[in-house]
Amino acid sequence: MKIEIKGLKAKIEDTAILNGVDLTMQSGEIHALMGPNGSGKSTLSNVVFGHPLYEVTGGEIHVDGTNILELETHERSRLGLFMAFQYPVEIPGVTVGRFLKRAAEIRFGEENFNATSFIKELREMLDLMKMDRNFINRYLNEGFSGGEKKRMEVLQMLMLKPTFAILDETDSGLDIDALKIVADGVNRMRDPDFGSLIITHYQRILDHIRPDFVHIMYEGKIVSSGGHELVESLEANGYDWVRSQYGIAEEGNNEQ
Amino acid sequence: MSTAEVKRYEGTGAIEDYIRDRSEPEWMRNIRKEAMNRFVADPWPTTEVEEWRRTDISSYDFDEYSFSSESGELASIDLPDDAAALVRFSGSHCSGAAVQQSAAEKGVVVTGLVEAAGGHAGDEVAELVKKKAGSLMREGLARADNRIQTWHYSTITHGVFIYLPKGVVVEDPIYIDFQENGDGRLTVPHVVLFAEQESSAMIVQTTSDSGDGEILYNEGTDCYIDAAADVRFMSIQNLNIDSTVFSFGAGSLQRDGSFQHYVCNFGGMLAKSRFDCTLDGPGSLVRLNGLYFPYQDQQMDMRTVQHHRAPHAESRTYYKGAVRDEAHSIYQGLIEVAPNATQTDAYLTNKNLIMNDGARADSIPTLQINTDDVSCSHGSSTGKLEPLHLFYLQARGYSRVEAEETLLMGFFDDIIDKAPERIQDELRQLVSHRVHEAHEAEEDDE
Ligand SMILES: Nc1ncnc2c1ncn2[C@@H]1O[C@H](COP(=O)(O)OP(=O)(O)OP(=O)(O)O)[C@@H](O)[C@H]1O
Ligand SMILES: [Mg+2]
Repeated sequence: MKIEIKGLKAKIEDTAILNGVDLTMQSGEIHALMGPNGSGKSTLSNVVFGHPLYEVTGGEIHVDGTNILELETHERSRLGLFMAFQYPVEIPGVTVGRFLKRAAEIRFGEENFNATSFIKELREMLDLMKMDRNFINRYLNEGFSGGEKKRMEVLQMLMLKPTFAILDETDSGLDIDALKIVADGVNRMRDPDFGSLIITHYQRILDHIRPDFVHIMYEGKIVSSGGHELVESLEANGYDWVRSQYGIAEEGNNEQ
Repeated sequence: MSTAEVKRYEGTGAIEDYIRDRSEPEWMRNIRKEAMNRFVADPWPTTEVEEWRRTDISSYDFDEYSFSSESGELASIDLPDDAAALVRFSGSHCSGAAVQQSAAEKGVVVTGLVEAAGGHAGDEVAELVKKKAGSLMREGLARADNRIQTWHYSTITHGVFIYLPKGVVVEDPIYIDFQENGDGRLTVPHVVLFAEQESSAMIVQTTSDSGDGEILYNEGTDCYIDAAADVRFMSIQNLNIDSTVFSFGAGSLQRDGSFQHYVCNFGGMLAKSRFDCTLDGPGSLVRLNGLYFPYQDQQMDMRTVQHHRAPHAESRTYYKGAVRDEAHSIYQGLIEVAPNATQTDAYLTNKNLIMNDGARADSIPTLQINTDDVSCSHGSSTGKLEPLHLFYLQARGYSRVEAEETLLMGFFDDIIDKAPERIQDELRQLVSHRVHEAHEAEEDDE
């Protein structure tokens, strides 16, 4: 799968958030996306999925040549795209089991769906994520701790086996053990037919999942791309370094 | 085959003729006559009365509906495996009734009300109907406080009589199946349930119709739950949405009696209902559950009353509805506690889900507590279908209609859960069917 984002601009209400994002990613590659709070990382993931609150004002997103901006959210998902949400919503009354069963039926086709092997695999993945098997019968994310919600997102990725996954700060709010579990989950998916964009603020997850490419977003643009050395520079110098390095004026930034 | 004799309803003259022409026992005729006299004296309810404030029936032309009395042969029908009894009506004609042999041997009666009342002199069932149904219906009429109800008692077209003798436990459900038909028909069923001490049963009533013909359905239910009896009564109303539905029901409970009422409203352009429960015996227990899902331009106006008249009784009302398109739901709930009803434990909850702008839900809970030493309260909430919830599901591949259906199932989950297990799937299907239908209508509009 090849995802090509070109000159992407998007706004929410009257505020421009993305100001021309260029990014190309392919299966087999792991990309990391870093950048200060509010720089537009989540906006980018949401726009890829057609979030109803964002309006695309320019640019294109092509997946294997198809302009996905013309597709509905579920059609984009059915191409094999997945997003682990930064803030997964709580859905009362809908159990994890029932929710995921339907999602898997959609992903793999009802004719290929086997309820017995689905449950078996779901149990295995819960074990892998070190989550109690009772989670199957709990309402989706309702009353889950922050870390449990993040693990539930990774569990869904493992069950639905997307071709390309965007993980939006899936490492935030995790303790060391949970971080390792989540990283193991992603590494398990690593394959020439799988690609991922890992959005994060921290080096530690990238030490577990070595990305092939690292990008830095700043005020709605990718301002720098490179290899793992970028992560180290950031870690050492902070975002001020990005600002001076790329000649961005001090005023108007929204770094916190 | 049944034959239908259709008479146009033209005010009270038609009612008089209707009563006169029926060959019925004196006691029933007297109930009708008394009801008619009150009907004549009363005006139609207006929006000045609180219960009718949001439902204006002044533009109705009740003369539009034809009065029907049908007769035909009573066919024997096969009893489904899981049923203790089944009574089926085609319009006002009782097209079949059957009772499990074991239940019949214990004295359980499930029969057409009008048919049984008209039995020959000395007929045991006719005597039972006269005694048990007669007294309950007279009390029901005495309590009637509006013209729709007095109209009901004077024009009953058909009905069901259920009698559970002392100590008899009926394991399988008793099914009542009202299949309405006919355009512009006035149909007025009455159900009487008399549960003697320590008896137990579950009754499942379904009301549906064959075609799209507009029906005026004016239903009445009188239930009596004697000491330590335990009855569950479920009613699924799914008439076409051109119809008008009135439903007034009441239950009274004696010491340690338990009554669970569960109503599901899907049908009717206007559906106006009330269920009134009186806890007359100490230790009695009531559950009133309601599920409703109006769409298009339906209006559903429901009211429940938990009337505590004895100490140590407990009641819970749980009404939950989703409103879609231009639909409007109104729920009015009252907990009323008499001065002697100390240690009352009563609660009422109403939850609404507004599925789009333009749909509306009003929730009006009221408490009237006339004694200290009680635990009574209410809670209601109204929420919207969350765009972010929809987006989450869609990002996982759910289409818009599937996402909506899933969220709706989630919303209804805890109320469907309270329904008897064998009905749960049916309820889910009704909800799901309606969501898909609504989406298809939207697509057609585009
Ligand atoms: N409804 C809104 N109206 C106006 N601005 C908004 C709205 N929602 C988000 N924003 C702004 O959009 C900008 C980008 O937000 P986004 O969530 O994409 O940032 P992010 O890079 O993911 O940040 P973080 O690292 O904190 O997750 C922020 O400045 C945010 O305040
Ligand atoms: Mg973010």
